[in-house]
Amino acid sequence: MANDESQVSGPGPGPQSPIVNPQSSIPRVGVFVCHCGINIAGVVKIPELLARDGVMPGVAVTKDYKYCCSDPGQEMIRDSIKTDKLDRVIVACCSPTLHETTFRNACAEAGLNPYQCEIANIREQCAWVTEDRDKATDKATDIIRTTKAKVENDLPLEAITVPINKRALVVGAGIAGIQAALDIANAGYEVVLVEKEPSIGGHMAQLSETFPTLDCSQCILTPRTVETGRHPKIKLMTYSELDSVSGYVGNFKVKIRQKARYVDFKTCTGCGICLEKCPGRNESWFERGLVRGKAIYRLLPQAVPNKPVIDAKSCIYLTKGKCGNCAKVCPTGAIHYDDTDKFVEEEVGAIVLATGYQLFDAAKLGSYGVGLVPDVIDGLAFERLLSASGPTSGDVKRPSDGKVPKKIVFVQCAGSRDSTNGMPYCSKICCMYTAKQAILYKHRVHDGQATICYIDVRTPGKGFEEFYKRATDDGIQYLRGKVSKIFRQGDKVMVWAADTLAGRKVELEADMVVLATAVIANPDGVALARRLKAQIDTHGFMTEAHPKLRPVETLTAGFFLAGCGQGPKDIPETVAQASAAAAKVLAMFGNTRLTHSPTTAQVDEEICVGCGYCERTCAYEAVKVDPAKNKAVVNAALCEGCGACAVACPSGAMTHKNATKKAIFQMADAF
Amino acid sequence: MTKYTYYPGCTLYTKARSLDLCARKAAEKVGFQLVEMPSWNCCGAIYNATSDDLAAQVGPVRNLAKASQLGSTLVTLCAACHNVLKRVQNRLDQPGNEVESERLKTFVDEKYERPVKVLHYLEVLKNEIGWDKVKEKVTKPLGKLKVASYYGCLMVRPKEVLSFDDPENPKVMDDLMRVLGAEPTRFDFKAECCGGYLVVNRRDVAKGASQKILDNAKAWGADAVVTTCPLCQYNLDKLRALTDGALPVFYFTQLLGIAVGLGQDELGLEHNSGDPVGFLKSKGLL
Amino acid sequence: MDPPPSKAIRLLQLGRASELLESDGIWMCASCLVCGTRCPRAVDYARIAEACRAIILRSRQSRVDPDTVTAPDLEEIPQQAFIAAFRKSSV
Repeated sequence: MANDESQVSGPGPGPQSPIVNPQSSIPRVGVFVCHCGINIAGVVKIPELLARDGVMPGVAVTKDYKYCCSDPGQEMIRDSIKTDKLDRVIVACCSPTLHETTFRNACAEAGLNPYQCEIANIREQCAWVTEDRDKATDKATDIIRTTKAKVENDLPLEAITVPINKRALVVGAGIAGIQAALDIANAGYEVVLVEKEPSIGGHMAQLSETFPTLDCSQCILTPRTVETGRHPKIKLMTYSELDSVSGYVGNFKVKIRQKARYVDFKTCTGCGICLEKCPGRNESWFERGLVRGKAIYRLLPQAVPNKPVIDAKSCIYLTKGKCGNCAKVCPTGAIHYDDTDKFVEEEVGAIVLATGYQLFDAAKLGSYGVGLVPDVIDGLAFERLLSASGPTSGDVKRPSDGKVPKKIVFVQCAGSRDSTNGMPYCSKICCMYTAKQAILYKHRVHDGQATICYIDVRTPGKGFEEFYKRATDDGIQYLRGKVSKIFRQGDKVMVWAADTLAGRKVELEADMVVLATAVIANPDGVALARRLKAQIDTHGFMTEAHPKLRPVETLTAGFFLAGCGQGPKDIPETVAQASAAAAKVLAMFGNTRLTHSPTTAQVDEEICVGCGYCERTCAYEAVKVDPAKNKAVVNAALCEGCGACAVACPSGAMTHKNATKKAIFQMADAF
Repeated sequence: MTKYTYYPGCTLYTKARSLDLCARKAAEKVGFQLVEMPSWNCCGAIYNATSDDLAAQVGPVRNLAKASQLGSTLVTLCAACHNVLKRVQNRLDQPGNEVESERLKTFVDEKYERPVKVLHYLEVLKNEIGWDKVKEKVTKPLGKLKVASYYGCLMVRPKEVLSFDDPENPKVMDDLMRVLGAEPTRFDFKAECCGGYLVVNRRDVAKGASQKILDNAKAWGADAVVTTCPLCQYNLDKLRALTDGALPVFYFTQLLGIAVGLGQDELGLEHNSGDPVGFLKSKGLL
Repeated sequence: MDPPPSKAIRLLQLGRASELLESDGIWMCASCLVCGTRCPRAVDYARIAEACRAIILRSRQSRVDPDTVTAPDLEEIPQQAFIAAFRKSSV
């Protein structure tokens, strides 16, 4: 046969017996038809199908079984390979995405090369799309006939193996990234942890206390951040961003941009004198606009690493050439105004994406008066007011005049569950954190009155419903009805809401309004996903490989997910998911080599003229024209076997293993 | 000077005639001419939302057909007429709606020559003339008069059809006020309903709604309110108690007229309640 | 407004339309369209209220009698208000 270029470089998937049937020029094909209960058998007329298959030339045996994927079903196939001396197997059943691996492993155990076993999908592509039994049987016959044409052309292939660089990259050092990094590092592997802010901890560092335990957020976070900062296996790169990734699973080359900090972290002692003397003003995202920060800043007193950076846009020296106070007062001379961005290259085997979330910009909610009416703030801003290290040292005060609010209205679903603004989903955490914020407010302001306007109260976690009851027991008033409008009256904030359980409209007069705004995917994370060609959904959240069974993997091998970057979730779930992602990484690192499917593209060098169309077509950068030979060369480890290059090749030099042009034409002729 | 086919509507033609005249004169100063469409008929004053009542659409369709014979735009000043005509035009020219559209056109003698773009006077100022040109014509800037711009509901909703401004936070009239030298204040009730036609049989509702609007304008420090609809102007102006500190309610064309130099007798100030002349004099605008 | 839009729709969902048709609330609607603009599901309650009113008006029942309008009001109130009010609430 032509194109006999199977590569042998290591063991294939599953245990193997020695090959019992040497390659004969007339393949003996076994056709196994699965009933799949009544899924297939209820539509396709199986006895008729078997009769038709049986008379096809080259089909040595036909068998059927109720559930081929079961142990007896697989046993039947293995036995038949041996007794009927089969060297090709077709299993007519469900989609190959479900059981191709199952049946290929079964064949391998019986001594047949797994790549000479093909699936004929007569369920999703046949029995599940029609109720007409005759049409279904005819189509099933055609499907099997074409599959037979393919399998007869299949060569025995061996899986490719690649080495694994047992180092991981974790992008994002919020609680998700920190947890994943610690789990991987504690297993003994090196982790590069990249964080775009000057210090780690993410949004959890902004919180005051966490639900449902009312643990102080910093108290439970800082043990982790400190451990991360001093872990011998974690290379922490803060104020850095992932720029690009090349390579493939087990062998990634990543380029990280280390932004100019203007502070030398090696000589800086974190004494903080520069912070006191800086006159420049920075919009502090950390304080949610409640106060402005300084141009040289650290996010919080317990920052890890506890070194400040200079925000170039708001630094008077860097923009106008005046000031320079920080350099003057720094006792170790750690300020370097001539700092520049640097690029660092690292090599890793696995990447965990933990880019987190942001809150929707409440100013876009037209009728809520944000930006117009003072004292209307969002949930994270209220956290900063509650936080002991926040702008008011934990005293709840109105941003407008510093007075203590005696009545606060909390508005749930501010932007979420709204199909008219592109966020039809529930943000999951707001019901709980609003209850928490109301409880904390009442702890601080004993005669304060809290009203929560809600549509539903969602309390799905452990201890959550009890926490909600605690809120109502504390005298917090819950009004069922979405808030329609927020406006100003004198120095009060007026809220138009509803009490649908009592059946009436209400107008509330408050001193302050806190909006539980929708959780959205971090826009920087979305931009990164686009650069890396990682999948994101319509809302910008990263897509998992399977929503039920593979929640921490992606369809890009080697990329894993953790935290709110994949979807809104609370801290317990984030930590669980981060550890799960770490477990997947460690499972990968537990192998000596990684296997890769051998059904890749291949070049016939006698025909190839080095035109480069294939290189331009390949989405995985798996084929490049070698300038020395002027021939295309396929990197089988990167090739995902999509076939695009074979289609693009104008001379026909590029073919696809086990999907050659000859095979495809024979499949078409088989109709 | 660009000429636009103009549809005044019943109220501007009679009870608010002086406002209509002031609008036309101000237009000429700014650089365009409103040519009243001959033998127009009532637009219906409110859009009929039922999908099967085609008879209610015939009046507006006839106006659009007549307008289409004179050109491809129709300018309205009254927000209610604008709302009705624009929504009917949208329905008439909606792709996929041809069967109903043809049926409607058969009830009208005049032929619907081409799709008509229904523009509001403010749209003409913003998009056709441009704020820069309007600013050039301002000879008496309004001395930073604190003005709350009240749009009402018909100017900005439904947002899919009345799409030239934001349905909760519109800006076009505020922009005009700024161009004229006034200072548009923040205002939470820009597009809340004044009660509209409920003044006929539920005056209490209209009064309550209007009072809320005026209270909020005052809370933000406005000295006056400008409107774009004769009914809104009536509700806000006439239903309130005329106490000290009650805000005067002007039609935006009246302030436009002052800014482009119309004489006091050309502004239709007899239409406003209270003492509009005294108020304007006290602000140095007359 | 009694019943408010949320209750009105609930009545319709439960097949209790007659209670809605007998209510005051549907006549209070001024078609200002704030309801549909703010609703997160874009439910157009103004249109539902219009349909309810149409059902009653088409059975030849007026809600407002033109004879109740006083002469001074007729003088003062802009006629667009009368046209709109009577189109919405009388036959």
